[in-house]
Amino acid sequence: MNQENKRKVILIDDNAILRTIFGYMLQGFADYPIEFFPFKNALDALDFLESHDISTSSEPAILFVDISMPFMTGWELMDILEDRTDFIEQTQIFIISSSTSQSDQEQLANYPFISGFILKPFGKEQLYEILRVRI
Amino acid sequence: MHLQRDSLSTPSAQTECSGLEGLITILEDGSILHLNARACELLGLGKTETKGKKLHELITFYSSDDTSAPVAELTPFQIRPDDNRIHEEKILGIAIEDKFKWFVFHINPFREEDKTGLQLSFFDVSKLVNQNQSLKDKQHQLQLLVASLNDLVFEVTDTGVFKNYWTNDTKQLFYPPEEFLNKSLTELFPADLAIPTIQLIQNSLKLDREFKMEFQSPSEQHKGKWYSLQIKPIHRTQNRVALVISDITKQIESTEKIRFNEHKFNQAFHFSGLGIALTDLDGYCIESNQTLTKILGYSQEEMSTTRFSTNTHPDDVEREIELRKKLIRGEIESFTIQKRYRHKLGHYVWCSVTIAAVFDNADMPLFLIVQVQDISESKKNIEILKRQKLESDLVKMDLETKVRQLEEFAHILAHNLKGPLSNMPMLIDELQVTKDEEVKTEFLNLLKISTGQLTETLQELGDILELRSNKSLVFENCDFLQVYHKVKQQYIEEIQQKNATISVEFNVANIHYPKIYLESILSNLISNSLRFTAKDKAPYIEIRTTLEEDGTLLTVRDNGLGINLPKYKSQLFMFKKVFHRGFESKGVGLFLTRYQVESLGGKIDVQSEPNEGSVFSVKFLERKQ
Repeated sequence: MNQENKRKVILIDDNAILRTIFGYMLQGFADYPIEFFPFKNALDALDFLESHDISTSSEPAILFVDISMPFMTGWELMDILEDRTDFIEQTQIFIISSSTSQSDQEQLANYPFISGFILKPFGKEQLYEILRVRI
Repeated sequence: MHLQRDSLSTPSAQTECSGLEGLITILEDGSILHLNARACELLGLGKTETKGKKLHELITFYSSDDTSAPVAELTPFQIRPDDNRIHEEKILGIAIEDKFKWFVFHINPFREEDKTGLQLSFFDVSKLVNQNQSLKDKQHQLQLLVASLNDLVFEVTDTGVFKNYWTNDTKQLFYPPEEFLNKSLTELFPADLAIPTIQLIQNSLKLDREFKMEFQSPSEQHKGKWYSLQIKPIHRTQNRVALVISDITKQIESTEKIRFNEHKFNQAFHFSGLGIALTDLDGYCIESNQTLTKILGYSQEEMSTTRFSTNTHPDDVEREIELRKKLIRGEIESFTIQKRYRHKLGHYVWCSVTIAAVFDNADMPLFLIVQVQDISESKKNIEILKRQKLESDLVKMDLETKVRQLEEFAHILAHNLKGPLSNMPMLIDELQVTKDEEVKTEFLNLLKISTGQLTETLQELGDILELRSNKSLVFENCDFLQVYHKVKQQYIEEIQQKNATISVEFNVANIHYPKIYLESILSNLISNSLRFTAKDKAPYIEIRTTLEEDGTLLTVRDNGLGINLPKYKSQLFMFKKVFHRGFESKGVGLFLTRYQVESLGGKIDVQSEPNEGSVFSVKFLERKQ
């Protein structure tokens, strides 16, 4: 399987340790090949999305986005993505956060294109189940 | 004068010449038979022209009643068929050159031989008749005069018997004339009116003086009416008086009204809850009431010798004098001021004072009415309320700040603590299952880092929480310049490295504040300005203090990167927020600074635009020393 057909998994989280653990978790996933793109903030991720076409692959790309980040919060990123209908149609988006606050749960309802909310900490199996669900 | 009736037909020469009476004999148809010289003289006739003529055709006679000329045939100077007159006396006049001459005619019928006729003897009574006439005229005029008066006039005897009356309207009389004339006051009126009246009549006659009394109508018909009774002696008759009765109901009513108004004013003046004084135009007290005495402590007598300015606080005198002048000039109708009076005991009393001017009919100011209300109590209450409001405002501000801080702590808990914490179980899970030694080592290392991060965050939170219990803070006199120099030492290296310039202008040199806070605040702001510098220009930082209305303002201006305020302002002073990519920043500084400022009631604010630099301003709420 060549590079083009690897499923693209994008993680946006300012916590370096989480990014490392997340990478290890993905290495243990054996169902299909994955290409992992970790970003420490949303601006860097947007720069990447501007310059790379992630929609060409056969599998839809999948985005994991933290809420509380410097420069641009996860919600602010959602505000930007909301207008890119092509992108959100071809992409699965998950929020990953340690926040259990009411206001963050209410925010979730404002973005119907979000596929799910993953509460930190989460286990390897929980992540694999999400990756196994095919559209 | 004696008249010889039997010799009338042939009057003797004697009577013909010397008698004062005019004598004429006429036949029954009125033709003149004979007349003497006196008759000719009186009637202005020549003797010859009268022969055989009829008297009533020769002269026009006028009646004395109305000076009209009767029809010639109806004059008494002929005998009509049914005439059976024996003797008649009649006054008739003739006109000579526009004047009347009046004669009294004695007319006697006679029968002599075959002739019947009338014997007329007459003499001149013009003087009497004219006098009578003028009396009649006078009487008429008098009646007209009486009729024009609204008064009732009675002629009354000394015993109170009505003899005569004059009025223009008989309806005004208490009784029809025939019922009261020749009756006594005592028969007609109740004793309480009649007896005093008779008393006055007798006094009036005795002392030859005029008396007056007023009484209310004794009859049902004129109920409620008031009359004035004047008693004047009529001298000529000695025991007669004139009673003049006038209806004075209207005057009485208006007098009553005035008296009532005066009474009302007096009641209002003396029993008012307000202190009231009347002052002359120069401000000297004319009269004052009891309430004013209560307010100011001076008795009414003491007050009456003082001028308002004597007992007014010196700062309030000028204003009141100006307003009083305007009032007297009629420029304003009244004015109300709040002023301080000096109480007799020496202390000042706050009063609300309303002053109005009273003018006479010619618009000349007469005096001023001053109304004084003691408002010292409410002044005091207002002061207390103001202070309480200030206190509760401070408490409210404090509470609002605390509520916001609590919300922020909840946020910190959700993101900054739970984040690093959530890594740890994930790392442990992986450690438990992995067989790879390399991974194990790395994950143990990550676990150590996570623990370190968590400890650090907890430490920072601990510092911040400590700010909240600031009881141990020592307030001292801080010299801005001194604090600045101390802080600057920490950044000497960066200043040199970035070739930064810092200028200071401390218009306020000192502040009463916890020194460690001031150092921390200044340090954080300078640190921010030195860190987020623009690449293409040498950093320039301007630090100054200025005195504002409600405290000292510290501003730190730089020419650095600036901040996109519309986007970040809400987060700028939040915990662990960073806004500049590529700089070493933990995002704790401004949060800490804000906490330090706010914990002592101050405010921190920022003005900035990206690439234009930032101005941070700190408003200190200084505690009273």
